[in-house]
Amino acid sequence: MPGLTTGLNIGLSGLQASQGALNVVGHNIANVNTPGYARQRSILTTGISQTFGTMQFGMGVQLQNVMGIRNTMLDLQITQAVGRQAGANTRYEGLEAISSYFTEDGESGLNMQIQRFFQAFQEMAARPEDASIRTNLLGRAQTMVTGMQSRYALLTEERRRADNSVVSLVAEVNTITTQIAELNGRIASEMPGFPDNSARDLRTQLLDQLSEKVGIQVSTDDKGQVQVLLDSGSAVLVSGQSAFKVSTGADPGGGPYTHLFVNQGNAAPTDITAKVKEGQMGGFIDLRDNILPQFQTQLDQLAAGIAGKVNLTHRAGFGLNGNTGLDFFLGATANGANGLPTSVTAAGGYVGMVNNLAVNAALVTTPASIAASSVAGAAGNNVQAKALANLYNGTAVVDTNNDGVGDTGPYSSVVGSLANSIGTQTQSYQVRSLNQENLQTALQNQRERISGVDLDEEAANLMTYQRGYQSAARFVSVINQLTDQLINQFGR
Amino acid sequence: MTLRIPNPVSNQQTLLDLQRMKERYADLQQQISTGKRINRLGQDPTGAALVIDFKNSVERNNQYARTIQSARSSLAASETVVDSVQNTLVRVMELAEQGGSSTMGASGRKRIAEEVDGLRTQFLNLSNTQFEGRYLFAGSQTTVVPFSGPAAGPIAYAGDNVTLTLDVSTSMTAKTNVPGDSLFFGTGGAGSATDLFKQVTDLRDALLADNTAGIQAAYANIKGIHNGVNDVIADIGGRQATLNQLEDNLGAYNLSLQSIQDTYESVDYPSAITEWSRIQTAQQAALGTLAKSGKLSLFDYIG
Repeated sequence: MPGLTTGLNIGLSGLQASQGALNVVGHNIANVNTPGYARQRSILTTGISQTFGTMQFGMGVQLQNVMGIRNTMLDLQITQAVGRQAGANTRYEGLEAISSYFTEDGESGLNMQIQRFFQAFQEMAARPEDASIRTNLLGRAQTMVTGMQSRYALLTEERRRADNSVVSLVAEVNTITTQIAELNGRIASEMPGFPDNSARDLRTQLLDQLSEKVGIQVSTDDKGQVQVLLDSGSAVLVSGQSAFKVSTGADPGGGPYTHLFVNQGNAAPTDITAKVKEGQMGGFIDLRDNILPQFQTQLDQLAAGIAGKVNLTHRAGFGLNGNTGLDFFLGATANGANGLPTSVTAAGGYVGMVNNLAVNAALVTTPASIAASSVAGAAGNNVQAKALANLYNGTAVVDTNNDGVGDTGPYSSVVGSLANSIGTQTQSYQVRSLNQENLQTALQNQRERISGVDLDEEAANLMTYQRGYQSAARFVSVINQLTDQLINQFGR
Repeated sequence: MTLRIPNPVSNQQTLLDLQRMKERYADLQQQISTGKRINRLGQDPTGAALVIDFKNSVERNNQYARTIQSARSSLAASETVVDSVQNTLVRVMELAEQGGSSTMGASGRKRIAEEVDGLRTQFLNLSNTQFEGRYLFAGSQTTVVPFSGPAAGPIAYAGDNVTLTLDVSTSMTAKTNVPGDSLFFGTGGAGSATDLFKQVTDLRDALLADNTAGIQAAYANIKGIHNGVNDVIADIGGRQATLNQLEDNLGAYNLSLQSIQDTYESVDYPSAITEWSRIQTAQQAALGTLAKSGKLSLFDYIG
């Protein structure tokens, strides 16, 4: 038969357990709005019974554990969705920034500028003797060149902006991976069965942040430590308690943009630039190295198609002053066979054509040298002017497969397909970003349902444990009275 | 088991929906204020490419219309000159008839010869007519004075026999000039029976020489030349009629192209404004719900 002191201890255990549980309730309420916080639950167990004779007497209650309620699988899914959403959104925003410059808007549209240039040849055909029409033609040519170059420059600027963003993200990534490695250390040293809930909450939050910056894959080992790899699975960022820092460096291929490296142990640093697929960093790298250059290539091909065809036709004609064999664009530096500058070739993908594009200075100073005529010394002959104007309607004028032979056209359809491909990609990344956002919200709602703090639930628990504490206190006071009875009143 | 729905869940969902509504709202507002359906390529990539295509066709037709006007004005100028040539020829024929009459004396013929000489100078002036700074009857040598020669003759041609053309549609070309040699020298060429200057000079000389046979020969030749000039006038008229018809066709084609372009490019105001007010209503409802939710809590009842 347990004594009165044992009763006091039983009451004490009730008081302590209720107070502990109330602390957990208070902690939950305090963290109701903390992102990534997983609600905690007190695990109460009955005290080990003691044997008195043949009977087993319960020995009160104990607060056995404080458990965080979380679904690790769900956390990993969210982490991945965050990375994909950030990647799609970054690409979408980058494309959106340039897309308005490629809408065909009044006189400033790219196709309108090209069309106006060729129309000027048509006007010259009507009055080949007229000097003012020739001056106008040169002006339109210059407008077209400027129109193409400003669009090209805009794309370059956008690439440079993406490059700067990549560099500034590196420091943030390194800070986060270091913190994750530290938290891994804390989690690895916890007592088995007694999870460090705060460390886990914080780590979940950091993983989401990291995933937003750079796409990652996360796996957990038997000690509860996470291993973080790039989303392509190619490089380790965090393994156990060590974080491998990302560093920036020059492009080994000699390109103008920053490359990223990870130094893993003693081996030479690995170039991970092309291996970052998602997250803001993946989005910026994709914009910088793949998406935007593709539009620049299209502009280069278009410019080469125009300059080459116009040069070859123009060379065959005669100016009012009898000059012949002149290039309309770029003058003496052009190749013989294709009319393009020597530095620009089909094999080189016409890279640099837009930047090289310029109206031949010899024509600007002497507009009479513009070749409208097919024979020397016939001022009214407009055969060459018509041929130049008709290039605009020609098919197979732009070479897109870099074999040196035109395979698509007319020019307007090339401009159309450029606008279409920018628009289509913008739209597809917008949709992808929306889908990932929906998925992420759905998963986060799921996480909130499991791990989120419900204030009604906490209010109910608060009352329950308050009553428990009050009752335990009452029990202690009864035992106290009994003891008083025994010691002070007994035998009076 | 009941589904736990902690407060932040419902708030986050409403917030996301609100943000999406705001985005669509801003999009519509931009469409309505600019009047354009596509403000960013991503809104309708296919439409954006089609708009380029339509604008391109419309603008090409506009340019062809301008070329037609230019061709027509040059033809109209030629027509005026050829008309004058024809009228002057009629006068020459009248004079030749008077001069060839047996009742006419030598002094009368000399007087007529003076007038014929004046008309000869007029032909020379007409043959060297300039329009917008170019000689109309010089072939492609439009900056060179085409016809010249001494008073006694012959008149030489410095132009060429090139017919100038302009492209007036993707498949049609229009002749914009009449080469001077075919108009004034005819099929026989310089110095032949169809050479206008030669025959008028011959007529003048025959009148001066009181040579009736010569006057009659020149008269017969000039009659032939007159018929040839009439053919040229008919030809120029025909070319102008073709151009007029083509211009009408281009105009009608452009109207239909522009109306199709409009359906891609311009905002459909009724539907845009309807959607705009629909979103406004939905937005107000969502805001109202968000403000009221979360007001219920067990904490309000314990204490």
